[in-house]
Amino acid sequence: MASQRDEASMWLKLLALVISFFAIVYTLSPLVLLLNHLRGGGRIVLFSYTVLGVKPSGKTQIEITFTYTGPIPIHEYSLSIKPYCLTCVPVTREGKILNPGDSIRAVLELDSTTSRIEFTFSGSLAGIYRFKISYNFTGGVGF
Amino acid sequence: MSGRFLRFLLGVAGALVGAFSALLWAGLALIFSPFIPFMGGRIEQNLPLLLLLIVLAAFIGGFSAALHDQPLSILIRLLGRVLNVYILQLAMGGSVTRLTLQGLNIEVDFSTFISIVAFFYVIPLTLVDSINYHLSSLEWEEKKTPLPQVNRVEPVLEK
Repeated sequence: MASQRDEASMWLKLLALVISFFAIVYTLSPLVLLLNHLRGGGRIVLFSYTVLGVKPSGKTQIEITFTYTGPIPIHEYSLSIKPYCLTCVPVTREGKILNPGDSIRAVLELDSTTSRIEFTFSGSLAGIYRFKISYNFTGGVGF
Repeated sequence: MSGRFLRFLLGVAGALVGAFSALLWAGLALIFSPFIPFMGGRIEQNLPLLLLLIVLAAFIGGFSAALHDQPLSILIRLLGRVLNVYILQLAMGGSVTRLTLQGLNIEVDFSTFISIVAFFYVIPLTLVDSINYHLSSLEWEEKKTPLPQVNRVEPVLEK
């Protein structure tokens, strides 16, 4: 009788440990995949810009393109570009899901007093890890 | 060997197991460490507090082993598991990890991960502990209860 109980409790413990192990591995896998991608020299974002032209007001229109090249989809993302100048307006792009290879485009209008641009990208990696990445692009007044 | 000394030995062994288990949990977070410095990043860790918690984990492991036959041990083990998850969180640099990588300021929120680990690690194993304790107490009751007496009829020897 007692040995049957011991066996049952052993199986229960094994089942609990297996569930616990797989839950942890499943939760860690997106992070490990991303870090492995970075370690292998891969980039997660490709950045490019095109000068669209100069408006009669003197503002320069620039189209910025971010292409996501990471291995894991990003959920609930938001890209905010905030130029620091007298008359500039911040731009925000939001979306539900950003798959590898997807691009985000934003058009900025900069004037001659622009001193820096602040990029903030936030989202949720595989819906598990919320993150925020910020970057300051400084090129001096008027770049 | 006296019962007290045996309990003490069990406590010492449990302390070693507790400290080792806490180190493993801290090590789980350090899986990422080879990646982070490689990419020029840095995670801020509170090492003195981490060491202090590993010592606390050793104490909890010791008490848990020494009192393994008491119902209190279920609670002590639960505390140990919660502490392990906290050690993991601390080794990751807190629930929100801040790191600088290739000129980018990165903040990663690990709270969902910590909650998933806590849910799938702490709850099932504590349940198993409770079931095991319940089963062993049933077994103990069985041992204590005498078997039903059977009226034996003495054979009458025929002369």
